[in-house]
Amino acid sequence: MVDRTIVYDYISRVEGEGSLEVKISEGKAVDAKLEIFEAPRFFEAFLRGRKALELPELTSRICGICPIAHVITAAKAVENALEISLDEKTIALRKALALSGIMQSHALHVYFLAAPDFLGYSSAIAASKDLMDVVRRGFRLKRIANMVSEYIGGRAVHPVTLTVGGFSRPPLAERLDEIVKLLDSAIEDAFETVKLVSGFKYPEFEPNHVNVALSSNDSYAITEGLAKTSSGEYFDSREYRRHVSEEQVPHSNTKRSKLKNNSSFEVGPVARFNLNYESLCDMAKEAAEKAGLKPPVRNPFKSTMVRAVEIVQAIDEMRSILKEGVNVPPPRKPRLRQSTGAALTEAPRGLLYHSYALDRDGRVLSADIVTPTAHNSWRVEEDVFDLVPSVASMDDEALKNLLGMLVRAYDPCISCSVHAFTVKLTRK
Amino acid sequence: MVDKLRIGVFKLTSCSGCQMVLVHLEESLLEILNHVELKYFRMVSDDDLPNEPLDAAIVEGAVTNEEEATMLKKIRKMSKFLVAAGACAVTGGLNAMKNITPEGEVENTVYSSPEYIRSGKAFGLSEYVKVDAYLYGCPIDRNELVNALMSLVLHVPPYIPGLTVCMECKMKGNECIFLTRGEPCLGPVTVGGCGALCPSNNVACEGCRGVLNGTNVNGLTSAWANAGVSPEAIQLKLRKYAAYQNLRR
Repeated sequence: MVDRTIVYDYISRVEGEGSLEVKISEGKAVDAKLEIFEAPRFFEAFLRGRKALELPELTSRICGICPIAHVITAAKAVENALEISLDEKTIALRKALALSGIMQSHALHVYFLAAPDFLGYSSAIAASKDLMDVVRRGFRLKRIANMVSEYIGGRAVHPVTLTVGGFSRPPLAERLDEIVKLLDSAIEDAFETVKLVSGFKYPEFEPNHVNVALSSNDSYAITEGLAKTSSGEYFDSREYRRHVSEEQVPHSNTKRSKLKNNSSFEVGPVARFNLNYESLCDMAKEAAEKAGLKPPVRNPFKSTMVRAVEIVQAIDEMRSILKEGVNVPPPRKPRLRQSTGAALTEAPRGLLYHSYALDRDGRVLSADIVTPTAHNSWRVEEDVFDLVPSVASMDDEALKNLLGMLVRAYDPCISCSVHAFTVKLTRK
Repeated sequence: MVDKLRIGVFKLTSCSGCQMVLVHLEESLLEILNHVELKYFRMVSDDDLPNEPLDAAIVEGAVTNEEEATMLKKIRKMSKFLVAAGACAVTGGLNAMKNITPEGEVENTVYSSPEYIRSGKAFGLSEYVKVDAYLYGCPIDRNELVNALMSLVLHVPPYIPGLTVCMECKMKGNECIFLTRGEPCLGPVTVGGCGALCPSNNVACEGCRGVLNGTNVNGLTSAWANAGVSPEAIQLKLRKYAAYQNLRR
């Protein structure tokens, strides 16, 4: 017997259209559905018959917030298929571009999507009446991140320079000093951000998640490395389908991802932080210490703090990469042949998988794309089951808002996952 | 002090990239908000759809099902001025690629079942409602967006230049990608205003801003064919952001 149903229709301050519906009986959640009502866009269907070299450009259009992640992952998958190896400079510059995308997305999330919950406003725009300095700081961080994306990628939303095999042109060397100085100037704002989010009051909640993130011995893994699970397993992009599978659930346009032991898992900033804390730069470790964060972070609401720490990491690592110079060689013309290739990278929201089969002329025969939000969607529903017993005494509105915050903590990107969220609350 | 312009930002089937261009105005957005009130913008605000009329609606995305068509008509009814923002809203954009099977069997889609229509066909906004202004591109250009917002505040129609991407590219003094490399470039027939962004980054124009009226698409594709571009490559090039527009020509 269901006592109440909480429905959050068209969850605000997330990318895309989704809702959450939770049924509660005797103080426990008996059903939790993260519904994605956004219309599917059939990328995997219309990519068939297109050419491999178009994949970075076409797949960037999956997402207007994390296009950089799709561009890089698609290019890497095609490079893996065609056995194209890249020089170190190109690999490093790609990582800098990826980090600029993460910094932009995190600044957006911390200041414009998550902060209004903690500061008690309906939006950052509403908050700007009282907290103009804070909102301006959020915009400054976003702007600097976007300027780096534009510098390397030619454009922030749907970058144009990143191609299979490298970059269509190197960034202008004469602007390098200006960009590095901008990044220097952002460090103070980044630490102020850590301070801001450290002052937020986070709901108490410590579920036990399996984390999955790329991991590498060389650095804080974003564009290179093996996927690692918190239970100690490693796999590469070719082995991904042996470790991660999906099932269709009736209530959602998105599929549910699970590991081979049938468990849900969490990807994203918290997973990266927990698995790769030792690889963070000293400055990011200092930021984590100031925020009182130590791995393993279990509270999903605290992902906001981890994002602030990752902003520090991104700025520091972008500076180091750019200071080494930006003169990348032109891409070599690829030799097309029948092949398959896959890639895994860390998008702002976590592990992103692209895989393609190509024919001898480089036509796409099939495409398989799994986004971070698809990886996380089951985990979000399980969190609802874990959270509700301790908060079931809340009234409907408060509970709806708390559940909205929980969904938001995963920063779901619905256009990416091609589903949407509503929180519905039913009470007898 | 005049009243602020009351604006709603809406999303249909799309990637949110054009809304992001609005958020990416960053500090300039704060200046714009001195003149504009964002009454509805779900991606960044909890505020529900207001019951009162809007001065302008900025709509991103293609219409791909009945619910979206109904929503769009509702938006039209409540808004004095409606802006189609971005390739998806203008022509259906990349979504309209699914209107065509890879084999190009367009006929199959004509008598499609309702289920198929729900998820199968993507259209620009003007298929359903009157559109007052278009912002082209995938994504929209930030300067054109600012220009459109300022025009709305001043109650004048937004200015969109009647140039092609090719003309902008020539004015920048770029080396021609088609003439020097033989790569097909859609610049000569594509609505300008982006400042020839892609060719300036050494990448051929993919036509994300749609075909400019009065340009000679057939002449361009003949020139490509004469230069050895394969029929398949020509078709792939035309069936992209402006796929639906080109299909109807």
